[in-house]
Amino acid sequence: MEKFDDLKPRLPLTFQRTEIKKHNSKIKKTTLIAVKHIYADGIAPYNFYRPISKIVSI
Amino acid sequence: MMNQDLPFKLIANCIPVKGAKRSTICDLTRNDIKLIPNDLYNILIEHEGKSIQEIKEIYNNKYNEIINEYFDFLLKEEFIIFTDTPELFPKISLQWFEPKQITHAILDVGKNTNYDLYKAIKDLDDVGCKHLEVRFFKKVDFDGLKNIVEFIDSLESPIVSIDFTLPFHPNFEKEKILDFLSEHGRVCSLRIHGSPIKEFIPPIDKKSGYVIYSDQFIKNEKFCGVIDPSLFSINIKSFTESQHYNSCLNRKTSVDVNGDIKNCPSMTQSFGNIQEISIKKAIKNKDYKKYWSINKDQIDTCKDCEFRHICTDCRAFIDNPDDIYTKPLKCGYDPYTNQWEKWYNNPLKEKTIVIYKLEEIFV
Repeated sequence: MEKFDDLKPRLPLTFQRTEIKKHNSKIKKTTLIAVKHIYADGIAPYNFYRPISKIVSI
Repeated sequence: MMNQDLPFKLIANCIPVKGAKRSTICDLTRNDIKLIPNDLYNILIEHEGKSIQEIKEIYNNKYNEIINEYFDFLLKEEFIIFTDTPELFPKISLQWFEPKQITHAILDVGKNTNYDLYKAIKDLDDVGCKHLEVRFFKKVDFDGLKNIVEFIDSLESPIVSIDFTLPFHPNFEKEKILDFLSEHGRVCSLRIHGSPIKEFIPPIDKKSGYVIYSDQFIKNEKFCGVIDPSLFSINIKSFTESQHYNSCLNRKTSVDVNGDIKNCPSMTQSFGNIQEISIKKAIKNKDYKKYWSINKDQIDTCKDCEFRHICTDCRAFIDNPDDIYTKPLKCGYDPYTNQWEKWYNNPLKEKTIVIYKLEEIFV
């Protein structure tokens, strides 16, 4: 019988290459907006796939 | 813990979506979204795999405080990790595949309905439908619901979820409903409209279905198509589907109160009557799938909305009935101002409300 360790996923032999872009120090940004200035609120999730019809909302 | 010198990596199932004025991070495992500024979106897209220190230098150390705040937020919400091997955390594929011809179905039952509901359910069984919603626009009692569920059980059907939308009945006491839900595992929800109370009962122990008591009075299919945050769908299945296909009509079929097989009961085009033709045959019509591949990136205004991949679109009622690529009529959200308004208060929609003869839903 297989042991639990045998069932664990193994790392690929060759590492996958990520799409890391080179640094671009010429990026010009005038302002950054802070997170706290964005209205953030929890939204009631429909977490069972998707609603079939949109006739009754909470 | 915040590490200024190690590269950061976004957790693969937390996916940023850019809107016109702000963005979201869709946490597809926790079924949640967070709103973020577009600047943070740009950092996540352009600078993933760099350290905080490097990012600060890119911005000439002018915005260190805000960048710290961004990363505090990302860490607190567990959207990122710091690692010296970011290459070991690849992106997840956003491909979507579904072997079944039909995944969702609506069966409408009105006062004058005389089609055979059980024949329609058998037809859905034949096409491998997984999710069914039965909407009653007339009074129905528990026995009516039980008969449907027991029939589906007897078929050993692939239908895994059944939603019931039905008018309030004095018999629908909370205890009885909860018993009904616990007895019938396939029942995913009961949405009871015209109720004297307004209440949401979530699934008990995440095992049974949920219940919505709504004070809305729903008379017919014209009441459908509402775009509302409570109807957003935040999970990997619908998110990936939304990248390629229409998030309402893809793999959907329905039978309206007259027995006509349609993409959606609110649409006008019929592909035959269920008494004369099978659903399997009706969906082979060349026009049947014409809406399936209209995704949110192709729809005006929606393509600039940060909620576009969690919103379950509507193609039955749209801003311009002559242009299938216009936004849902019953959406009151403006991604250019980030304001939610009552959609029917928008004077620009008045003409379209008349075209669709939707005046009755406001009475």
